[in-house]
Amino acid sequence: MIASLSTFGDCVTDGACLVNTGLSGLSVAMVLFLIASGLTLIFGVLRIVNFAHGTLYMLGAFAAYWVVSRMGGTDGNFWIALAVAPLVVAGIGGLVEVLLLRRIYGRPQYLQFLLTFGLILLAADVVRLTFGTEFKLISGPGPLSGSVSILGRPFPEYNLFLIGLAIAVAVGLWLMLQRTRLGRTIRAAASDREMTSALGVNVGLLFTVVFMLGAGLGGLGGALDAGRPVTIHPIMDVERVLQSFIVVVIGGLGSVGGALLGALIIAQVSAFGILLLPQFSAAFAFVIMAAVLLVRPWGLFGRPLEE
Amino acid sequence: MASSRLTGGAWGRALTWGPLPFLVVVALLVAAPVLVSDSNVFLLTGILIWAIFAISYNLLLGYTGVVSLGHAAFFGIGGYTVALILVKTGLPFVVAFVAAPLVAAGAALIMGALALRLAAIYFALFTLAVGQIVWSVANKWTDFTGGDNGLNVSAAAIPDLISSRVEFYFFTLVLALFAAAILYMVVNSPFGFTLRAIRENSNRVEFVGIPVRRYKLLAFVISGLFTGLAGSLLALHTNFVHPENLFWLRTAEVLLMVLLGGFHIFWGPALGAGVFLYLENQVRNNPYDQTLALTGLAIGGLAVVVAILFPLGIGGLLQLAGRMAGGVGGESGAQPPGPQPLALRWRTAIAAVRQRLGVRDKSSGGPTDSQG
Repeated sequence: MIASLSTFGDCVTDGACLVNTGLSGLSVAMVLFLIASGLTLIFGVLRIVNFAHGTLYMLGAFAAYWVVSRMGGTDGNFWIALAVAPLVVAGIGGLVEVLLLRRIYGRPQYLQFLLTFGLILLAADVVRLTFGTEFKLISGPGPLSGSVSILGRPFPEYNLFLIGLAIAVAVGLWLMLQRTRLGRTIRAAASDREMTSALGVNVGLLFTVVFMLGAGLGGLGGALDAGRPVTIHPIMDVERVLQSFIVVVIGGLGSVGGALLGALIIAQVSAFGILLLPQFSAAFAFVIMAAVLLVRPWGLFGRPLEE
Repeated sequence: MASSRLTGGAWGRALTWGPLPFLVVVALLVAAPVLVSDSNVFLLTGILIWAIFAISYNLLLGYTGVVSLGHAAFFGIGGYTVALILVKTGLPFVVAFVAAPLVAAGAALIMGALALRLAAIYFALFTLAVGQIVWSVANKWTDFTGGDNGLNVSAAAIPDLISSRVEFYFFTLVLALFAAAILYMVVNSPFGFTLRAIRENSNRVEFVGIPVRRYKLLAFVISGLFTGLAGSLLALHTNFVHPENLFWLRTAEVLLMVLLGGFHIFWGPALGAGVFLYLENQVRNNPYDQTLALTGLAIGGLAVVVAILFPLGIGGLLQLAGRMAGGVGGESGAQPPGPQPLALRWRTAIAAVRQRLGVRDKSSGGPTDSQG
């Protein structure tokens, strides 16, 4: 305990360590944001709490692995995988929405929990049957597998790329929501579904599109993490899905901007928390989630749900 | 017609409190150690334990309309309490065993008091968060809980009287019947009927002057108490406690058991626990499953089917069968007087389910709508 306190103190007072840890946290935050933005979009429009969102993340990682292993592990193929994986996962998401989710809209929430719980188990076993049980690893994006020196300390180039890409996606998402017809429709449906439907919007189609978009964002997060590289296995999502729930709750269910803020908070809490109290950094994030729910249930950026 | 009507009644009563089917089931359970193999007695003990958990959970889900996603915490707290007292202190077994449900009830009091201020979806997420805090502590506080290695409860710490498989089975059976009897009395008391009224329309109940949140809190604590009892029985049953039993997916499994059996019937969750564990056991022991864990396909598939096609569960299907066998006229006053005649049950069940499954609300769609 004392050792870790001094580790924490040493790092906070040492500029290089502070920046390095902060940037590591930022790269985690950006992936977390991508996953959580999908989750929060789905909740905002469909009012579905998608516990299987982590499964979409896991499928994204496997899709990336599949593309890379099919095309041979040469450098450029990871970038193709990164483009293909979100599309594959969006397609799977579309199927799930049309075949299953659509049947439980407006039903009690426990049926959503049950359905998405079932999907978690089903998908994990389907992946096991398809890919086998051994852990997988992508050999990393060749061109960016090096590291740059920041204040004299090495920092992975890939993590810088992650930060840049996620910012680009965030801006793109913002522009889409604010400036395009689809974005306007999404925002309208999120604030008043019935009125949107009454104005002639095909809400059924919109729900499918939004779920595919959210699934694609989750899948992109998985593919990006796979390139980090993290080990790929059917239950790799267990931790990330809970983190993304924390992020979404802190930022406010349904708020994309909130998801960005929540991701920044949670990633930094775990980046520095692991130095301070390595044992309890996971518990700490849940404490923050519980505290936010008690004080401001709709989160920092969200709005109270109309009952 | 008359005989088919009788069949309908019998089908329905088998799932409610008809005394004859109940006595037959109890007799079979008592005779089970003679009738089935030793390993099946072990399985049956597990089923009884999860049945206690599922019936306790349904006091909230089915009777009060409250969806907790943190109940695995109480299950785990019960198990860890009995294990830690037996392992770390020299206190007698009785103390450990009585403390377990009480500590779980205390935890439920704290979680419930905080959580019940929140509306449906926030309530569920809050219980999830608190449950995961408890899980993190059990998982990471290695010095105290054994962390990810779990904690062994040595057989020596368990009294001789209940140390063999069959003896422990009877111990569990007695406690399961006791817990079920108490919970049955609770749901059929004025308190229980008030809970159902809260489930249907908490605002109206509030307007009548009943302190809704306090009623819900009491239901939450009772549910936590018996969940803790089930958790401590599981620790003694497997001689082991592990953080896995506190993880939020455990709560989802119990939710599946409850809905699989039928949440609108008192015994439904126990039936669901039995089917769930039997199925899981069959899949896990099949020769093809040695390298691939196929239980996820079975359990996950079951969850999807129940959620999409049979939200009323097996109990609902049996009632439907009974209803069809009984004909349309079956709902007249011909039913014997009981706590809840079949026809009334069926009608209220259908009405309740229509109301609860229908597109009733614009936003969250949850059965609880207590804006604090």
